[in-house]
Amino acid sequence: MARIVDDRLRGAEEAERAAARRVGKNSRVRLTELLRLAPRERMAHLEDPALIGPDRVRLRRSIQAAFAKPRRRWWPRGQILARGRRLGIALLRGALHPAVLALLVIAGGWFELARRATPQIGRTMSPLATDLSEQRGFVTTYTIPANSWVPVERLERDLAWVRMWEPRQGYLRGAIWRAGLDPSQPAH
Amino acid sequence: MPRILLVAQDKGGSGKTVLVRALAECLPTARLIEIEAGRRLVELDDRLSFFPVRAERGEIDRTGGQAARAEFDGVLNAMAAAEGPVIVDVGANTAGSLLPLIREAGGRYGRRGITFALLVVVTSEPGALANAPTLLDLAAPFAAARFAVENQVEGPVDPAALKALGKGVTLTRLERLSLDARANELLQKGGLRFIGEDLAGAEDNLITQFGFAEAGRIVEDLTRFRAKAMAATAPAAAWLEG
Repeated sequence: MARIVDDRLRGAEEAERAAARRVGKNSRVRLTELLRLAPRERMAHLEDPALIGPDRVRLRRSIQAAFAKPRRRWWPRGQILARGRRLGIALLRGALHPAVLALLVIAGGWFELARRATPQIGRTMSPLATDLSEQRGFVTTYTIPANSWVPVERLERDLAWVRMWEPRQGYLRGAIWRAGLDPSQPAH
Repeated sequence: MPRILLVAQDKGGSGKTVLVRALAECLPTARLIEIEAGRRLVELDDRLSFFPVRAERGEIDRTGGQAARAEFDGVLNAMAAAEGPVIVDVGANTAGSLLPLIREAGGRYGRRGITFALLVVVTSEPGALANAPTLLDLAAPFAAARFAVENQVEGPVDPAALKALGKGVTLTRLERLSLDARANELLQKGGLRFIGEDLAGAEDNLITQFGFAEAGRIVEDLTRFRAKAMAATAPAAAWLEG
């Protein structure tokens, strides 16, 4: 059992730890002093010999923090982007739902039906005379005044078939000269 | 029973003398024998016997035969007269010649109750690396214990080379430490004894000279170095104490 060697070794290690503690304590005291200085003054002490490694890092970080430009935003951009992204995903999921797709198909059919049933509108450039027939076969001669808007059901060569609503008789249909309609309102 | 620890490495600059100083710190009762071209362990003067030898291996070889053997007579006599633990600092280019002489006289030393051990310093420098197993082999017939310290002063040593030192060799490590420039200067001047005995008292002078902060760092570096060097040699010192 080597008592002398053991004791001497323990003593040396204790002396080492005590010296390290003293240096660490001195360094912390110095760091506290330096942190009281203005950031620009602190820069002159980055290589201060009294500071141990970790305290030098703390001093450097304190300067970096003091000179870092604050990033000002009128609104939190990241939050808004995230919210938009979430909303987009939710909409996409909703749009692909079978019920929504079925409604779209039905609405499309109705839209096409309405489009076909809706005649094109034409404007007369001059007074145009026409024989208007009702569904039961009665025929009435009528002159459409100039600058009137008339619904054109179809075009046949030089003729345009128009219809007009008569409250008691319903739709009356007749043909007018196609040339009498404003060309800026093209028919089918 | 006197115990003698030989500290050897024929390649210079391996840190052998630092380890001798660390051994002396571990065991203050041990006497020292220094075999060197010039005196280095000056701070241990009160415990030291100094024997000058020729520094150059070439010169030793040229003198050859009886002349070379006679050069170690004083050393062999001093070892035979040992009464307690002795640390022998075998200088560079000397161990290869001295160890065979001790082996030859091993029986006679044994009758006087003297036991030998060898501590070899290994560094990554190729010459030192090649010399270490040679010295360990030379000492194997007469050494009761063999130690090797891997001194990482020039970087870590290849683990395969350390393994090749063989079984029965106690291996320790002295890691490379970065010292403050002024701390290194003081270490060269005062050795480890100064750190152990006088550094605390000298701290005020250091503060006056270098300032409070740097003085603290110098003390920390030196005490750390002393503790690490002592830890690296502790197994050999423990053997020496018996």
